[in-house]
Amino acid sequence: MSSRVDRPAPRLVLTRPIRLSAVAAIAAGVVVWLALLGPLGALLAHISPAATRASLGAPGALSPLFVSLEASALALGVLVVAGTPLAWLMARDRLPAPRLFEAGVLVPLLMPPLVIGLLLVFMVGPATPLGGALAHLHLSASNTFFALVVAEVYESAPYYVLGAQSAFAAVGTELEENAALLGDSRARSFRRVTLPLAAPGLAMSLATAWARAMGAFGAVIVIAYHPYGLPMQIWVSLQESGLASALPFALLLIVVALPLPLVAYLWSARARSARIEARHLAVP
Amino acid sequence: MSHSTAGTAGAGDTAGGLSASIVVRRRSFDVRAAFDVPAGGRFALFGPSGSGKTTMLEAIAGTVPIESGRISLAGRVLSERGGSELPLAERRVGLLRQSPGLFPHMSVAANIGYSLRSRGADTRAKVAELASRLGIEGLLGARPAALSGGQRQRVAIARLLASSFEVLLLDEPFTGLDAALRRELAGVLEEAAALRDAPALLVTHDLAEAQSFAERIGVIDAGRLLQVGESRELVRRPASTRVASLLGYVAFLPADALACRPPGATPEGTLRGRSVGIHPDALYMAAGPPATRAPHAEPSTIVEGVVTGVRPRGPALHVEVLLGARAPRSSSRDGVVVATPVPPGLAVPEPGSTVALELRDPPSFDSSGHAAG
Repeated sequence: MSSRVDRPAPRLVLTRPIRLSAVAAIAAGVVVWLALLGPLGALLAHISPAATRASLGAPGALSPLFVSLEASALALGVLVVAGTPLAWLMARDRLPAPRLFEAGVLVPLLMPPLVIGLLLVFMVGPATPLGGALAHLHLSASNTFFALVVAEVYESAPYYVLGAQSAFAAVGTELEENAALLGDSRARSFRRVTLPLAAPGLAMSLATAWARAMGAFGAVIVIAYHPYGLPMQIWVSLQESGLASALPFALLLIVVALPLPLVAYLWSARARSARIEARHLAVP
Repeated sequence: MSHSTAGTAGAGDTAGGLSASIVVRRRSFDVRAAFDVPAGGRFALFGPSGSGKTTMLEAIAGTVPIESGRISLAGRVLSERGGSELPLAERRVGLLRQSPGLFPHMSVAANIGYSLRSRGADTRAKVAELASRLGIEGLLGARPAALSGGQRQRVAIARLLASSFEVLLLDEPFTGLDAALRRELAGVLEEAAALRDAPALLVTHDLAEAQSFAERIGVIDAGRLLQVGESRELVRRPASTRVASLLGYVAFLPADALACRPPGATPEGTLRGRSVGIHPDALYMAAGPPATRAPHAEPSTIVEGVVTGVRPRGPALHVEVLLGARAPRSSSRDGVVVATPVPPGLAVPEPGSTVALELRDPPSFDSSGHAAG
């Protein structure tokens, strides 16, 4: 008690510069945060309820929403079925040349979506062997719903596969080994241990992929101009009738695409903090 | 591919026992060892950290593939050269590591009952019984994150005991736990292994732990099994100076630095050119100066040293004695300080004075470091 009374001055001198820099850092952080949220604020500030009702109330106005929802749900289904095993193999180092596989998954992430669209035309367009094979299945990857799904898969796949890889890697092999030594087959230990522990991370990467698929535009405009999904509808409205008529669709896209990733993010953040707490306690 | 092609057990297999001949390639050195543990037997692999003992255990568990060799358990081949490895789920090995490795998303009860397939009343009864055996019956609903380190290891042991293991593999499971808890948990594991007549294998860098657990101990260094022996005999008769220093011998003094009592009792020349291993726990302060003491029934070797200090240790006083300082042949080195208790009834020697320490039946080594005779 008395020592605290005796020495107030050095304390102030020591803590003051730290406090000032902390305040500056917080202020800078708030500014950056506000800047990042700025577009959302602008949208809310400029949209009028009457115009929104008029745009979205028109007959057939909601069909781009359903096209986007269906195509994105299908794209996500493809990712889960095809991407989950790949992500698990990558996380467990079971592939030859693992870095090569990682680089391969990164390619569509690093390529501009517009370029992906152009290259997809050369890969699955009607004049290509792959396009010919698709035609036998009565599918065409040019201005069709199928093409939209393909474009969305390419734009969202890296987000899911890389995210799922790190979710599986975070589970670690020790717990899987323990489950196997206790009599579980690989499939059973995957279901009982790996999947539940990776679930928050998987949900997070799935939600990110969902947001990318819903908003896919670059590849879509090249190979799937029709049927209109929400991003194409925004673009077409902007071209034909200007900013004001595009805004309601933009709001619709955000309202549909955003909540799922936010919920998944909150869930996985909570699970992560619980896991970290567990890890701290793990050291006896 | 299939384990049925791996063949049946060979002639060397003990019925119900573990027979291991292991070669594992590692970056720094190969791990090579061959040993058997009979059914119900307790064996310890003792060695410094990084010596490859955990690798041997993991090879038996199946989490590390063997390069060549053969591991069989109770007549079943677990691993054999040529890449036939029985899947982990079919090996029936009970592995307990230093980290309990509990499933963090499951309750304590679900962890304990993990290997039990049914969800019925008998499963609940078994879980409850194991929990009460390990003193964690009040924690069944808790998550592992809420437990202390000791409680977690108890849950891991209960989970292990619920499974149908045929060999117990213990990888320093008691590190970081206090002595009373170690004894309690080791007792539970010994009992469980004995009940199933399963071999038990402990890996540790703590000689006292190895000795209190196992009947036989294998000493490992740099991937090699240097010596296997009965736990007390091993420490009394190390095969080489390398093994001896791993087992706690602190010095190897040339035989000419020593005196014999009674004089001439040890045949002249037996120890000539050899060195004698000094273990601090095998040194006794001789009662009185060598000349005045009555001849000992058993011939003993005397080494003289200079008292450098006296310190309490536990209930006794220990003298710290600098050995070898007066030895004519050890002038190149300063010798080594050992601590030995002052026996009751004996005067505490002054620092700086010379004392005689008795070595009963010490091991001796030739110039290449191998045990003599």
